[in-house]
Amino acid sequence: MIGRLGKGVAARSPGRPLASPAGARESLRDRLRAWFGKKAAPGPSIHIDGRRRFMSLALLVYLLAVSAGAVIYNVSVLRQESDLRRQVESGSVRVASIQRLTGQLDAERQTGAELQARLDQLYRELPGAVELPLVMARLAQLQNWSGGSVSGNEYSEPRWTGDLGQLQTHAALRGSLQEVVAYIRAVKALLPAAALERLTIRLDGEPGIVSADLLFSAAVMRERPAAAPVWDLEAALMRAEGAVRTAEVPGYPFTPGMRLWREARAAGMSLPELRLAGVARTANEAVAVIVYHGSSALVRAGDRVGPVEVLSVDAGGVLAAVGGRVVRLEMTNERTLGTRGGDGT
Amino acid sequence: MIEFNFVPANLRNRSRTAINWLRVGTIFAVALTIVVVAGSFMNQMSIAMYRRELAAQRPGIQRVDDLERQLRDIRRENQRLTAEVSRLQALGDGEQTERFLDFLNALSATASEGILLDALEYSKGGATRVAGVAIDPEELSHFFDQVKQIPGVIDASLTSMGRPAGEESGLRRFELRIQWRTGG
Repeated sequence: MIGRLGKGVAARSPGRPLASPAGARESLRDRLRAWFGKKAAPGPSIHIDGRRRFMSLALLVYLLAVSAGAVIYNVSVLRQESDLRRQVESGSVRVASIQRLTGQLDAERQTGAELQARLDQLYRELPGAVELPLVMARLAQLQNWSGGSVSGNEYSEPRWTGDLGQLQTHAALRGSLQEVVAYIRAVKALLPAAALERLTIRLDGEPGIVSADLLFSAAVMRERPAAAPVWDLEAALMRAEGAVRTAEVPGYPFTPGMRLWREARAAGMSLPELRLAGVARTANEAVAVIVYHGSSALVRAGDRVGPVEVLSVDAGGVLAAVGGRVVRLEMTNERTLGTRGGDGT
Repeated sequence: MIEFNFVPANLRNRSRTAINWLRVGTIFAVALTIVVVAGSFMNQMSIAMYRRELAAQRPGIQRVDDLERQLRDIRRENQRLTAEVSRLQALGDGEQTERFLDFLNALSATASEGILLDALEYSKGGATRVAGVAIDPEELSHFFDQVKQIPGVIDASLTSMGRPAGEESGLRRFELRIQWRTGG
């Protein structure tokens, strides 16, 4: 160390190199003590003046303040940033879902329109309490479409549960099984909220003719919602007419074949007599005498005796349709040839 | 210029430069201040950027909110409609009458000319009683087998069988009880 003045190394300006005779080997403790002005041991090593100490303290305080402020401020800022980032991310996801939502909305609207249409249809099919007499009158007239003869149309008072009521309606029908089925289909078409509760069918003295006892339950509405459509009678009648047209029974379980007819009648079953009494031929045509139910009739092709429709007459016998089945009546024996419209015609 | 060196010769060149911690601290303080200010500024910029992005998303989010509200309303309305439709549909018997008519068709188709039915009773629920005569036991057996094979028939039993024309005749009077499936 080169000294310009003889004031000693410790008296030099701060920041300048300090020389120590002992090799400047003071401990940190000594240095701190010196810094706080509590250096007890005399020595030439460290002298820190008041200004430097003040500056150091101020610097330290500044550093602490800046660090603490930075931490406090930035923690809050980072938290805010994190919140914002989360919002932006979730917002992006939500915005990206617009197309999916639009699709779902369209689908729900479509479903809603279909449900509303179905509901309107159900309301149109459901008669109100005030329309009951009209409904019953129409039920009595259904035989005009279904065939057969309906009697005893009557109905009970509805039992109400809220605005909906259930009633029972009874009818007796005489006709073919086809006509019974057509009548049931017509009632169901006229009143879709009806149910067949009970049905009894009995052979009614003639082949293919039955008497049916029908019990239906049907629903009516006491008061319909303001916007609900009213009962559509015209549509109901059209449905009933259409249902009758499509009603078809593929068989004749209440019509016996000729052999079974003869044997069952002989066994005491309530079946009428049917037999060929004779055939006569003229130059142009053949005529036959048929005995049915105790009375005889002279018949030609196309004639009808009760339920027996004569299809043709020839020298050997008569071809006739009875209760849907086609039978061959001969002088010696009778045969069933099939069903009307089937292979026997 | 003449200079004097009062350091003894054996102690020369042994001194070392003391660290000026005040200067170091000052430099550090300046650097820290710069870092803190820059970092805070960057963070503020970042926040501003997110806010801008959020503001840009706001119309889209409002549209999503609107769509979700509409979807909720429509779904609620559809649930109400579904409940009302179900309530009105439950008034009938579903398809039970229709199924009975199908069963009756199938039963009619199985009855040959050797079978004559003279009674049929049906009650809602699928229980049906059929009575009639058959020309002989084989015809009855064949009819019974066919009835059991009608789609939807769960159970068919021959509850009675008699000889209305005596021992000599093959004629058989019969009664069947048939249970068929009303649902599904």
